[in-house]
Amino acid sequence: MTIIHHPNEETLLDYASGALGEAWSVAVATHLAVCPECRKTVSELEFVAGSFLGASEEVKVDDSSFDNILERLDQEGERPVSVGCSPTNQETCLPNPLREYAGGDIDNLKWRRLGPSAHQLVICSDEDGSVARLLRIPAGKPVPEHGHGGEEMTLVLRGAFEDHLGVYQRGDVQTVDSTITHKPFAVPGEECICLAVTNAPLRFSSLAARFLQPVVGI
Amino acid sequence: MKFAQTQFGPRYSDLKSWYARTLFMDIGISHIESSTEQDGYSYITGVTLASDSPISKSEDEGVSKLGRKKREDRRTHKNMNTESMDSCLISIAETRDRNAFKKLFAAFAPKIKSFAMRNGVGPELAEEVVQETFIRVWRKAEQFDPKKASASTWLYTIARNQRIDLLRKRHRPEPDYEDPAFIPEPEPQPTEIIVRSQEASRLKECIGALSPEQQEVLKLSFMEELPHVEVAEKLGIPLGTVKSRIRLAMKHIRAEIGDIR
Ligand SMILES: [Zn+2]
Repeated sequence: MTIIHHPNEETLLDYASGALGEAWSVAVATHLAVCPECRKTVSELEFVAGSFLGASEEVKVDDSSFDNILERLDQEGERPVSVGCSPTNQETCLPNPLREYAGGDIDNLKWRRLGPSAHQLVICSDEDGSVARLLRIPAGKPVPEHGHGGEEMTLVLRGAFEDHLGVYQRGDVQTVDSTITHKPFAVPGEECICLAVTNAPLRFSSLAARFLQPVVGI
Repeated sequence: MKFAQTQFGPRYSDLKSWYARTLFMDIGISHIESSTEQDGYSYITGVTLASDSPISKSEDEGVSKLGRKKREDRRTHKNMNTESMDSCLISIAETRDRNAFKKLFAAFAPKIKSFAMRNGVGPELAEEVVQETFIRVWRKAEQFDPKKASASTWLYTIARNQRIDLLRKRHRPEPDYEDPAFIPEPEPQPTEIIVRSQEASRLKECIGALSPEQQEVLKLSFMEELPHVEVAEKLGIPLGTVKSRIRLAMKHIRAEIGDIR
């Protein structure tokens, strides 16, 4: 797998600093699981953060602070290891953390219908209105042409989609903002499953899709 | 000039004493004595200055003498800190060493508390962040890999996650290194540990060499936990300017690291 399209640097910075919302972070972290290159960028950023922390001013801690910690460590013992759900196939599965958020692997999800042929599954929604959802688009089918009220980030997990900006395959990330109207469609041959994060409802261009919008809740 | 007794972990003792020697030479110390004790650790037992204390004798001006001494102390402290904090973490992982844990706590807890108190968080909640951070440091110490991160970077990531957990009350999704779907880094080079220690010092230098504007953006991001959009608002500059500062800073950092690879 060769990843061509990565999240932009300011998104990686917001992820590294912890300022990025959870819905977006699920997409970034899942991309990082399959992209050593971006993990390197994040660790460089964390190194910068670490040196700021090392040079940070100091605030005196409570006198009992260290003893409290030791006491808690003595009481609580070692941390139990979390048990996640196993992937079905390494090459095609949902990488963690997405698999845990989805509550299962790619072929065992509780999809809900979205329009005549697509399906969706909401993964995470934030207080600010950002939503991360898995989309399943049949091979060769278009996602209706749409603009965006805000930003959209899409991470491909199976198959591929294509629009005037390029072809996006497993591991690739597309980021578009409100200035872009695009017409993505699943590449023929295989259905496309992707994680789409938006911070505003999508605005569909076609009248039919606009009528559909409140019904399907996208 | 008096130095605190310093410990070096057995696994990396050769590299670390080499590193320490380089640092000492740099500040005018010609010789360090060390002995390896039964516990397998090397202890520094004495130091000799390049000429018998040129720092205190050749300077006429009291102020500059003091200034210079202070600067050197800070430098020694800072460098030794980085190295010995790494070995503290290794000792915690290998022998559950509570003294090393205490040393690490003394060095970082006040910094983490100040970090947690940004954005108007009260001292009680910040104290909670400190304690939860160190509970995790103890439990996860085996995961610390000196080839991948320095102690301060590793502590930052844990403190950051606790800040998100306790102050923002939300979960932080992260890649899972144990996951079969995780794609690992290409095979590391045998010389990687040497390269990494160079990389750390080069990176540190290169952060200092970033323009004040670039540093300001990164500092607001990390210390105040501001998304880059809010950094732009806070500084009253266009979003595009913030983005280009981030990109230039990263380009600069990458070019520095590229040099030694
Ligand atoms: Zn990437």
